[in-house]
Amino acid sequence: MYDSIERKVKASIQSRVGPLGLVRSFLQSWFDLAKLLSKELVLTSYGIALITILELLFLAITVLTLQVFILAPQLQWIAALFLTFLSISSAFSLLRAVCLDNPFSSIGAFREFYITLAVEGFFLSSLAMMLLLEGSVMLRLPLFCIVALSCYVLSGRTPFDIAEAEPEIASGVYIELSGPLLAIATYSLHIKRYVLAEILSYALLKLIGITSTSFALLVVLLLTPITWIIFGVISVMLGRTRVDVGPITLLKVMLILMLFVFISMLLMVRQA
Amino acid sequence: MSAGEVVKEIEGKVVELGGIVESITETAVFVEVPRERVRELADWLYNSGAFLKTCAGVDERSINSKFAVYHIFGLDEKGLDVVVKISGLEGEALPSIADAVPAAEWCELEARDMLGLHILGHEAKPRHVLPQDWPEGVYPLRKDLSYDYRPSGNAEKFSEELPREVGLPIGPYHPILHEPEYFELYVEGERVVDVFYRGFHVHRGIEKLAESQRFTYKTIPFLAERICGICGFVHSSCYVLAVERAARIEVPERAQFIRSIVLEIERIHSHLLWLGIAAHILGYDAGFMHMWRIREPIMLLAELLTGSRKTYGINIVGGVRRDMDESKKKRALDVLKNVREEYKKFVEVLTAVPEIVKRATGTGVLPKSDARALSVVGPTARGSGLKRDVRKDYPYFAYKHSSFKVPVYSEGDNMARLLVRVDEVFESISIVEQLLDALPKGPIAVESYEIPPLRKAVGTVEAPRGEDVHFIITGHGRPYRWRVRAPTYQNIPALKVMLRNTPLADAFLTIASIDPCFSCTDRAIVIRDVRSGSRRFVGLFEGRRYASR
Repeated sequence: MYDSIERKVKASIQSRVGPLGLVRSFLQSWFDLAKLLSKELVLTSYGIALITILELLFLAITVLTLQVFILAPQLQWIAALFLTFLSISSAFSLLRAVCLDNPFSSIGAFREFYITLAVEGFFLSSLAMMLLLEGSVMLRLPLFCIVALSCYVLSGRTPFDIAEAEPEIASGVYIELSGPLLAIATYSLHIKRYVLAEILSYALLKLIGITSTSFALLVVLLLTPITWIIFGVISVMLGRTRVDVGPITLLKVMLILMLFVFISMLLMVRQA
Repeated sequence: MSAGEVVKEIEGKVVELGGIVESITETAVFVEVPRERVRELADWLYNSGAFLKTCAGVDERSINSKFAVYHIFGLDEKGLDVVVKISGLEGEALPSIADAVPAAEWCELEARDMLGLHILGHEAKPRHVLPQDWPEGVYPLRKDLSYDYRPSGNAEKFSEELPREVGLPIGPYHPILHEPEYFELYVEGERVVDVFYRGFHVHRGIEKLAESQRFTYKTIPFLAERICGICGFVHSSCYVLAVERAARIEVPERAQFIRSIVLEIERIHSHLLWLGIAAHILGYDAGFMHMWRIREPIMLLAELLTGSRKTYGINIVGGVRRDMDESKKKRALDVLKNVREEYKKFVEVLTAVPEIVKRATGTGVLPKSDARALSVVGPTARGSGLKRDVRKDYPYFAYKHSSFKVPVYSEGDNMARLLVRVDEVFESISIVEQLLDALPKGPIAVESYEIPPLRKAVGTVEAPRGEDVHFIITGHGRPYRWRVRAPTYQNIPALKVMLRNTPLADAFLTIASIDPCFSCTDRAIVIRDVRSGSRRFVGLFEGRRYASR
C-alpha cells in the first residue's frame, strides 16, 4: 500500500497522474502483484525459485521479530535474532542474482555486492549498537546517520538502484524473473523497504529517547509510511550513480561517520 | 577564395587527373574521373577540407551498360557539393577510397552488397547491409530485380550452435534501444574495451520502392516522410529539395518559410524528446517526465500548423499543401513564449543534477580528429568542435532570412553533445519566431513543373541528428535512383571510438548521445521476415564470429 502511495506522490511531482482513482491510489501495487501472479510460471531453474521463496520467508520473519522487539525492547536476544534474519534475507537476495546464468544479472549482482560491501557492515553494527546500547546523543547521532543512510541505500532507490538499473542493464538482477516469481521478488523488495523504513522510524525514536514508552510501536507504525514517502520523494530528485562512484562515495561517508562514532565512544569511556 | 574560384580549381584538378566536369550548378559540381585516379582526387578533396557526405552505387546499365559509384563530398566553407563519379562494366573492379577517407567504408560496403559491385579491399569483409541468409548473387538495387522480390530464406544456415563466449549483448530488443539494433560490448569488469555493431535489421526497401511503378515524384514525399517517426519532415524536405534542384523549380518564398518553420518545430520536439530520454537513461525520471511535458505544447503546435502531431504530409514537389493564417501565427508565438520560459527553468535544474553532470562529463569522448575522419554530423560533430550545420553552410529554404548561432563545444563528451542540443532548442525557438514574424504573402506552391530525366542533384537538410542527404538521378515519372543517407548512418561508426574505455554504465548514454535513429538508417532493402524461432536468434551472434576474425 505504501508503494502505491509513493507512486502517486512521485507521479504528482513528475506532473503525471499516476494510479487512477482512490482504490488504485492505495492498492495499485497489489493489483500489479495479482496480475503477475496470474501469469504463467517460467522457471529457468528450481534453485532460483527456492531462493526467491526463502528470501521472502526470511523477510517475513524479520518483520515479525522487529515488531516483537519494538514491543519488548528489553529482550535483547530478539534484536540479535532480527539482525540475523535481516542478514540472511540480504544474502539470499545476492545469491539469487549471482546464480542466474545471464550476463546482465551477473553485472547487477556484482553491483549489489559492491553496494552491500560499502554499507551492510556499517549498517548492521550501527543498528546493533543503537538497538542494544544506551549512549549519549553524541554517540546516537552519528549512529542514526549511518542507519538512515544505509536504510535509504539498501531500499534500492535512485541513485543507488544500480543493481536493477533498467535502462542500463535491462533490470539486472530481475532480468530472468517473470510472472509469479517476479511477483514474489517484487513483494520481497516491498517488505524489505518496509523493514528499512520501520527500522529508521524506530531509530529516530531511539535518537530522541522515547522508545521505552508503551506507545512506541504505534508511533513507529505511524512514522513508517512517512519515512517511506520521504524516501520516495528523495529518489525523484536524483539521478542514478555509477558503480565506480556510488559505492566509493558511500564508503568514504560511512568511514567518516564511524570515526565520529569511535570518538564519541572514546569520550564515553574517558568519562566513565 | 570565392566559390567560383574553388569551382575553377576543382575543374583544373579533374582535368589534370584525366576526368571531365559533367555539370555545374549553384550548389554542386558533378565530375567524372577515371576510376584509377579517384583515390587521388578523394585525397585532394579531403585534404582541402571537404567532408564525405556519402556515396551511392547506381545501376546505369540501361543508360550506358555500366555500374557507377557517386562519391558526394561537401566543401562546408564554400557551401558546395562535389559529386565524383566513377564507373565500370559488370565485374570490373572499382577502387575504394576508404583508406584515404575513412567515412567512405560503410557506403562502399552498402554499394557492394546492394549492387554486387567489386570494390577493391572490401572483398573479404562480411555483409554489411544484407542479412547473412540473403541468397548469393541477388542484388536488390539492380534494375533487373523486381522491387517485390522475396528470397526463399535459408533457415538451415542458422542451425549452428551458439558461441560459448559472447560479449555483453545489447539488443536487438534492449530497453535503451527503442528500435532493433545490436551492439556487442566487450568488457573488462565494467569498462568497455571494444564494441561490435550489427545493424540493418529493419529493412523496408524504401529506395527500391520509390523506383517502382507504385510511386511517382508526387507521392514519394509521403513515402520519404515515413523513413523516420521523429524527423520524417526532414526526409520529405530533403527529397523535394533534391528534386527541385534537379528540375530547377523555383519554389514560392512563402512555401520556403513554412518548410523552415516546420523543420524547426520538428527539431525542437526531437531535442526535447532526446533530453528526456537522456535523463531517463541516467535514472532521473523526473527530468524525463518534465521534458516530455514541456514537449507536449510543441506537438500541439505542430498539429495546429500542419494538421498532424507527426507525419505532417504537407510537403510536395514545388511547395507545400497547407498554409498558415494570422490567427495560427499568434497562437504559435504564444506557445513558443511559454515553452521557452518553462524550458529555460527546467534546463537549469537538469544541468545541475549532480549524477547527470558527473556521468555525462568526460564520458563517450569523440576527439575532433576522429570526428573529422569519420565526417560525423549534427550535434555529434558540433560537440567535438566541428562547426558543421547545413543551415549555415548550405543555406536552403528560408534560413537565410533568420539569424541564429550554431552552438559548438570542443570537449567531445556526452555533456558537450547534451549542451549542444540544449542550446539548439533556444536557437530553434528563435528561428521559428523570426520566420513567423517575416512570413511573406503569396502562393504556397508552383502551379506546374517538368522534371527532365537523367538530371542529378543533391539535397541536404539539417535534421535534429545532423545532415540528411538525398541524392537523386531523375527518371521518367519517378527517380531513376534515389539515395537516402540519414545522419545516424554517418554517426554510428563513431560509436566505436566513443565507447572504448567508457564505463559500462555510461555506454548506454554514449550510444544514445548520437541520438541514433535506426529506422532512418535501416531503410535499404526489402527482405522477407523468416520466422524461424530460436534459429533466428542465433544470427544475432554471428557478429561475434566476424569480430574475432
